[in-house]
Amino acid sequence: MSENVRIVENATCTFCGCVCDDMILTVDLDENRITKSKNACVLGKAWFAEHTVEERPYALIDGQEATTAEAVEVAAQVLTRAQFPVVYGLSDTTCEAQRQAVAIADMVGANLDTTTSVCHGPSGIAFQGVGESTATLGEIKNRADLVIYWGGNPAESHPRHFTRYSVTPKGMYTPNGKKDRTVVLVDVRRTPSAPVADIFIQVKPKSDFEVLWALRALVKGRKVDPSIEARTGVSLETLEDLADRMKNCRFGVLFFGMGLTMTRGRHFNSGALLALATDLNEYTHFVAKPVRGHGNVTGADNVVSWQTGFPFAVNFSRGYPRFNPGEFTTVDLLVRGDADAALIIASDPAANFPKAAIEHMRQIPVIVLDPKATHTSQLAKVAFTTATYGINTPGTVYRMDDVPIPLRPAFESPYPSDEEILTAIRNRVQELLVAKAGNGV
Amino acid sequence: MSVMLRIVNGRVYDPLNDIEGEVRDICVKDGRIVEDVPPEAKRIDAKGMVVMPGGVDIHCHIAGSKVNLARKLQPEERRHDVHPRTLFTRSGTGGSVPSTFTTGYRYAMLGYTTAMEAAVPPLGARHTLEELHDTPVIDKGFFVLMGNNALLYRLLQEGRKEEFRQAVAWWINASRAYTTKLVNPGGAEAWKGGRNAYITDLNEEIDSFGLTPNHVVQALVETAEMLNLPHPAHIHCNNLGVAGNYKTTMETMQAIGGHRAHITHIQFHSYGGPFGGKHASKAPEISEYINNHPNLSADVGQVMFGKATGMTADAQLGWMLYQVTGNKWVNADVEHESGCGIVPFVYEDKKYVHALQWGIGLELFLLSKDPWRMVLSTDHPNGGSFLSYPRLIRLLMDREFRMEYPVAGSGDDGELLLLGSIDFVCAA
Repeated sequence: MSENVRIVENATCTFCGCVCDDMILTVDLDENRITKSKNACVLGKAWFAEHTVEERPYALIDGQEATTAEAVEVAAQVLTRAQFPVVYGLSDTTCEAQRQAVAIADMVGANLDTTTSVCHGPSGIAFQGVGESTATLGEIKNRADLVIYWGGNPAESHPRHFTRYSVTPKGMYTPNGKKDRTVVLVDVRRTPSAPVADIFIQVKPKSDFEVLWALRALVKGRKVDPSIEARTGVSLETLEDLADRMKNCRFGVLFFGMGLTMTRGRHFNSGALLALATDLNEYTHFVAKPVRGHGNVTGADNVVSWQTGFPFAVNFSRGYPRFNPGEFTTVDLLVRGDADAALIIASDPAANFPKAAIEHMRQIPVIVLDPKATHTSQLAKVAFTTATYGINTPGTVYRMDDVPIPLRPAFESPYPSDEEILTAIRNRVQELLVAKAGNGV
Repeated sequence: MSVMLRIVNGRVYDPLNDIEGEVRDICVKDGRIVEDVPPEAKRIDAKGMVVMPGGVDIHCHIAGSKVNLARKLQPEERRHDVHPRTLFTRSGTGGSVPSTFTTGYRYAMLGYTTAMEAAVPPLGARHTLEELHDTPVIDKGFFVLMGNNALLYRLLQEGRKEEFRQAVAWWINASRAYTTKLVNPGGAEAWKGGRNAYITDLNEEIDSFGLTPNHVVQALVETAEMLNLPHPAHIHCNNLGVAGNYKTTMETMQAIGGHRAHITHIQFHSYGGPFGGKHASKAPEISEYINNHPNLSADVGQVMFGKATGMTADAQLGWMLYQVTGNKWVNADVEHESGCGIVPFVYEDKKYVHALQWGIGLELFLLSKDPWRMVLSTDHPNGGSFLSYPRLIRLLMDREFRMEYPVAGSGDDGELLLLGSIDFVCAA
């Protein structure tokens, strides 16, 4: 280790939706790597340790090394020639880059979608139906005396969620931390999060909706048949006790994860949970909050919403935004074989999409921006190597509670940022579109 | 190189300089109006057009976290109101809460050149600025919410006045705000900390702080004045929408004393009747007070019949609207700083309270002796979209048009539409 060391205080970790902004990073400037990340959880430590500067080409075109400028030219040509290009990903980059990506999608009449469509998309749909009573995480730290997690395992997915926001921290009206709170975990299996909970409720798989609906009934004083236990695995007494606790707490919160949104019922499940939280406000103060995964997936929702009016699954092919999940969600349209080009930003769909979707991606020109070699970059026509957001580039990301947080980079990367590459593509696309319009006159 | 422009043949209106419909040239150099420019300056022929100062929307909700929640909440408003892209402009969608680019273009097409986002918690300032960057053509800024700030409350409670002022100044500067905003002072604490309780009295104690809304109003009004902000403290009074609330509004204005302050969407705060009971108009009383106090200004917050979106930092109001309508409801608590409520809403001329609100707004406009201090607003999108401003201006300028509305009744007063008679408003 060299002597050339820099300490970055209040740095931001963008690994997960917690977006912890209290990192103290020790940076070896000769080696261009972070050697120590104080306050980071196990996932954050790995994130900081593994994002070094690797010896990789700036870009690949058809597998051949190329300059960034050459790759920008090919990307712009592909996107302007395509009949049905898709722009997808966006959850692991800055809002500044997301704004450029939405602009490109708008200009070329693309389909625009983010990883929200494969995680909390159903919660976005439920939100449109019933609204949401919600709060920033600091409010939960300060006030919540009943904390319920549903269909999530934060001990492994968001390790600091308990300690920073919701279970152990001492807040303004929760001076004794965990002693001032009752913690409930609802899930289909006993996960490593269960030991943190005062009450663990195990639900039979695929019966979350029934349990939530029964709770709504109990909260409103309706009778629920004891046969609920045979159907859901949860006894009526347990449900009555939970409903009672919810009505009598001072400030309650329901956190929910993909164990709720991606199981049977999907947006009906999210909708039932949001409606339950709303109902409880007749009796006390109650909020709900989806626990978001990627570091800036919440920013992607926000940017896409303010520029188009819709959070994801947006199509610009008619010259204006249209919204239709199922039709304009990327998995669905790739499986149908609709797209004829793709711009993938900071995401690796070839690693996690269904086989038929990946097969279609192999048939079309794919442009990908990523700091690392990925499954998607390996099937891409154009692959850009980028700097890592938060570690190498500044910008803004949104925490899972919609709070915008600035990034404080640790060291410089030789590679351009997503924003720089997307801005260059956008400018070139504009030139090509103007030229095309001029020829048509 | 300087940019120069000569606008010729337009009919010029400029109330500040008493120019009323004169056909003359307007010269512009580097963004400022000047006496003359050389002949090589670019010319725009404005024959057959009105040339006037750009409109300024002093109070609207166009950018930031609550606005974006309201966009996400209402896809149903968008499909039939799209804004297509061109080669040089961006696409978007409309409804009562348009997307950012569409907001900028539509304000500009109305002849408005400035719009001020009226309620931003410090925690959401960065979000608001990002959206304003994506709101083209118009000038814009925002007011930062200070009236429910727990840390400021603590300083006030401990009598640390100088630190209180420094903290307000720091927040204004750090968030890049234009002035301080108060919304239902004390209400957020009652709502979030007291199982959705309300604050209803200016002298009621705010839970766990040993303060009253009265203290908060006075401290922030004085601080804004002392800091010499370009616009004084911008106040959304307690008890918005509640019958009998004009007393709270009067008490707030009295508490302000001789200091400068702006009372916003005052129409929603000018109701008589028994507290919480049946509404009546107190526009004449409110109007008289404002007319007689040149230190005060207000905007109206006119309601326009049709679709609106209730969108407010006043969470208890959001809950009230949800209770009344049963529509989908968003509540969003912001730690230490604010509450928030959002509810889709429709104003209907057949409904007693809505018709009354419409009439009270017009009364406030028409009774004002100083239009510079009774500013046009719909509290967009709370009373209606900014796109309704041309209709609202016609309502104010054209008595016959006004009287065609069934709810307007048939007033015999030459100057005024209603003169405060509630029976009169609802006679139809």
